[in-house]
Amino acid sequence: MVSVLLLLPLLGALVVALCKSEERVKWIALFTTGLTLILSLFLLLKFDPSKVGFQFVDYGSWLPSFSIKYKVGIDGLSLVMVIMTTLLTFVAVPSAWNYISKRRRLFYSLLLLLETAMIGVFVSLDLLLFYIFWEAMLIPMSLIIGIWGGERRIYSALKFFIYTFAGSIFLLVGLVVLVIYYSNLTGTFTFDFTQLSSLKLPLELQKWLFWAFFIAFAVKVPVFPFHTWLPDAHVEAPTPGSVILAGVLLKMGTYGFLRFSLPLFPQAYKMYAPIIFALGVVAIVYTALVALVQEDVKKIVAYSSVSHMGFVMIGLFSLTVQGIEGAIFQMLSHGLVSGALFFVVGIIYERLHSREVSRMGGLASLAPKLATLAMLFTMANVGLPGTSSFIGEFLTILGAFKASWVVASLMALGVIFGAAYMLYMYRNVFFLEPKVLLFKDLDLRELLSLSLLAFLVIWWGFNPEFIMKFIHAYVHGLLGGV
Amino acid sequence: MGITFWIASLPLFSFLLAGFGSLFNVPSFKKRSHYFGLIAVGISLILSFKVLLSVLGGEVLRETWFNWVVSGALSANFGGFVDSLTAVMLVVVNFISFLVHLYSIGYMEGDPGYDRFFAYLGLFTFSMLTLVLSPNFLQLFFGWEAVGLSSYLLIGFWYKRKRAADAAIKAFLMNRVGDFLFILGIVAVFWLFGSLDFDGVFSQVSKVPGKDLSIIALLLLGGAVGKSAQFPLHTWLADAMEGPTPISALIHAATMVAAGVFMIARCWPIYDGSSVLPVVGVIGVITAFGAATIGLTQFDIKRILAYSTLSQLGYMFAALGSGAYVFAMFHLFTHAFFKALLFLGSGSVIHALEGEQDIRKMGGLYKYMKITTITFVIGALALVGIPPLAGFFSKDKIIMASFSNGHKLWWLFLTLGALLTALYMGRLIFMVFFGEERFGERERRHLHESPPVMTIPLIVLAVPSVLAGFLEGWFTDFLKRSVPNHLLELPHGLELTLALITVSLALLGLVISSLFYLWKKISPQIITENPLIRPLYLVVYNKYYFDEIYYFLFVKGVGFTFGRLLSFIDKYVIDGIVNALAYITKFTGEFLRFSQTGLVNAYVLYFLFGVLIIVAIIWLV
Repeated sequence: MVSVLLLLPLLGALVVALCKSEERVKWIALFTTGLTLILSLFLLLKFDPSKVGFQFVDYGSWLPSFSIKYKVGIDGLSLVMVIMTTLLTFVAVPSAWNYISKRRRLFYSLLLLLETAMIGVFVSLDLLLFYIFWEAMLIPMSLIIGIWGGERRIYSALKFFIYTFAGSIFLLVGLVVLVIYYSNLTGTFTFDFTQLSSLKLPLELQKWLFWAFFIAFAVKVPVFPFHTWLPDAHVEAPTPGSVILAGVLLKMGTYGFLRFSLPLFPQAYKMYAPIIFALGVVAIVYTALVALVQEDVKKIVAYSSVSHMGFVMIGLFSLTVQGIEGAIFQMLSHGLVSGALFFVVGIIYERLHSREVSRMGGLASLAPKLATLAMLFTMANVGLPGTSSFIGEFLTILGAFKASWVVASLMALGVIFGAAYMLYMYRNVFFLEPKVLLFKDLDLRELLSLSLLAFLVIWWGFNPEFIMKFIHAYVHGLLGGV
Repeated sequence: MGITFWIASLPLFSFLLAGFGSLFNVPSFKKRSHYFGLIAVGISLILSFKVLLSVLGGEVLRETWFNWVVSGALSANFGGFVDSLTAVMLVVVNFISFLVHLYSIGYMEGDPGYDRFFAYLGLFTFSMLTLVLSPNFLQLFFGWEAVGLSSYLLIGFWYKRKRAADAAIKAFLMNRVGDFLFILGIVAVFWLFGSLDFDGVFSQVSKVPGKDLSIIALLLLGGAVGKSAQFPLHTWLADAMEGPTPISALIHAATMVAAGVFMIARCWPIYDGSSVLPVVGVIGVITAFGAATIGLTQFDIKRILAYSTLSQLGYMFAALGSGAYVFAMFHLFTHAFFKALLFLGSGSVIHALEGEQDIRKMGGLYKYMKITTITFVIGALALVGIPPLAGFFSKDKIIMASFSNGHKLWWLFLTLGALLTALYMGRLIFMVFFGEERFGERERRHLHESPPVMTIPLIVLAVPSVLAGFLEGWFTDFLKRSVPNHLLELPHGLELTLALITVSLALLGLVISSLFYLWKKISPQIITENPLIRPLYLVVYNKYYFDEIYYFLFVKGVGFTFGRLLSFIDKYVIDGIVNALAYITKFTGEFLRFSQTGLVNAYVLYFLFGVLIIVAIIWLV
């Protein structure tokens, strides 16, 4: 079943690529991503949340001479990540609807390829398979930035590619060391994650491998100070690119920490937590202040992402149930909220052809529907209770407090700065006297897509258990082993 | 779900319906949006009375609406918890909210955002009701933040005006400063008590060391100081006057600033076990006295009332600080009526003068608007504390409690505060309603008493402003079921003397202000232009420069200057290193490229050099 999920977007990409009409491809893409979403929801329904371990495991021989297998499956963590991926890809299609006007066939093929790669990352149980998907993701994403991006698109696409690729090399080296160590110990050569994760590595090796994995994941999250590719990439990326980038791609890094670093190197993970706390706190406060003075709306939202991922990182390393569950929930919630914010920014850009804050103003009176939804997402980004972000932020602060009250205090301080840059941005864009005469309010397509995200933000804000119930068992199993 | 669910959520439906109408331009909704609010809050008010009756009968309601957050040992529900403290708050909030809805029909008539306004009113009421109903700290925080959101939306209601938009941000951010401490307090409560439910926490207070309780109490106090606009987080409240006047009535009387007082009263076991109460009291006394001095120097009718709210909230904090929780709540109760009355009355004046708020351009309005004048004067006298009006009973009790519980210095400043209250309210009444008319001919022609939909709420509010004081005995007994009232008994004679001092100072204040502003025997310029007093006057007139200092330090300093510096570092140092690495790689590559000459003899030469080096190394080692 997981394999079907993996193949469906690939098939869609093929159909799109072969389709004759440039106009019809977006409908095909919408249909494919919709179908994938429904299938993933079906998976959600069938999933047994009380069980620890992987379910729906598909298994096949692939490169037997190297003991590389095709093995996929999902547990609670993978499940919610997959749901987030299918959901945001589905939303990315309408966000591209008018924005992408040239070479649509290529664009939607790449988007669907990207979806397969992203799902692949979350469901792979063979480390080499994982690595292939991990790197495969870069290609369509860089092309999306590089072809449909803004003025400095080539620079940004290249930077994005080289930076994350350079980081990933360390991951590959780490993986190989891990596999060789295992084969020396047991005599079996395998990339199977479930087998490898049973290893108890000596502390010295844990330390080295932790940092090798760290570089790859930290660049992707991004953890301060590896974040500078992100604002560039976001500013230049087309709206759907930003939605996917912020919504899904950033979570690959935190997913990696949780999936690999914690179970494989538990002692090193615990040992280095203070360093991560420091980086996380700096990310929260520092990037919030940087966001405050940006002139480009997209940059503000991009820096805000770095700030919010700081909460996730600290939650993950707090090693408390609340911290980790909060971090996972925050990953999901940030996917919704930042995806929605980039969508909103894209809508404004389509109409004004500018991202400069100084060119905007007074949009609330011209486009009340957009302003209302934007207010909701702004408040969600600020972490207001009743939105999904609050659950994530509160639980991560709660978890961090157990580890260190200083860290928790600094995180909470970030809550003030977070409110500051978001509210100033909202004021400059939507309040004050209008600077333009005409500004079309949301059309039905935009209204429906944003309303879907808004609904989820509120719903999960009041009923987080809908998602959390799938990760309780997973987190319990995870911490039981530490 | 139960009755408490409906009490809280009915106003939410009003918000949703009116908001829907506003957003999608549904004409049949637009003109009728006030009905949603009136009906929803009306029913909610009736239900609140019903709950009050059952609580009076000795019941305590504990209802669970639905499950909210579950994670590890943490579990928090949404629900309704009604003891006498909450029961009183429910009635007050709904009562004031209902009248504000009614009044707004007249006040907001013709405003393009009419329906949006009623939507926000519903949201505001819902937020406050959820707050007072909370059975745990997490729902309390939900209501707390939702109130903050509603006030942000309402203060920035006329968002095209820069001042309104800025005031809204200011209110939100200053509240967030308090909330930053508040959320840490909640987190600390969880790790100390293993629960966030009030019942679970308060029953274990005796097991927790006083030092830990003090830390929690201080953190929670931070939230209360922000929300109730106490020193030093008080500056947002005066700017909040940028919102439509009915909102000021709602914010000041029942729905927002009261939250801090309510929270401390709710958490009394923590405060009683801590050593933080004196801090609460000192903050209250500073605010009570300081805000009163500012009120004396302002010219904007709404700002004067705003500073009076600050001051009266200071009295409530002083009462909390001296352990007289019930008296704090009683002052909150009476103050809700006359402060709502005063704000709605000032709205009536502003409405009649087409937006004028400067009291120097008013005067003699008594002739034109009798109902507004009479009700406003009643409210003012209640605030000043003239017996037997409501404010006398509640304020006198606070002043006395501070004396009897041994805080003589507090007592002194609170008593002097009573004098200042009389001075600024006297000044306000005489300058607005009596004396010569200082407005133009154009205004005079438009001058009119407000329509009944606005004056009826004034009349309705005037009744409890006069009579609520007589409920003191009943109120005290009723509230003592939920919160204690630590009070050392004073000899009866001393009690009477203290009350006499306060009342005579209040009367003296009225007389002095009438000499200045009614009979014009003395000109205020004698004081303000006096070279010795003028510097002091300017300091007070400029609100002790808090706004300027905060702006310089936090907005300009930490926020924008520091932010620009970091942004510079981000762009040129951190990203600079990244780009430098990339360029080094590129240049190294381009440099080494020259070695690839494509000439065979060059390669042979390299080969020979290589062999030589290897031989040399082997030979040396």
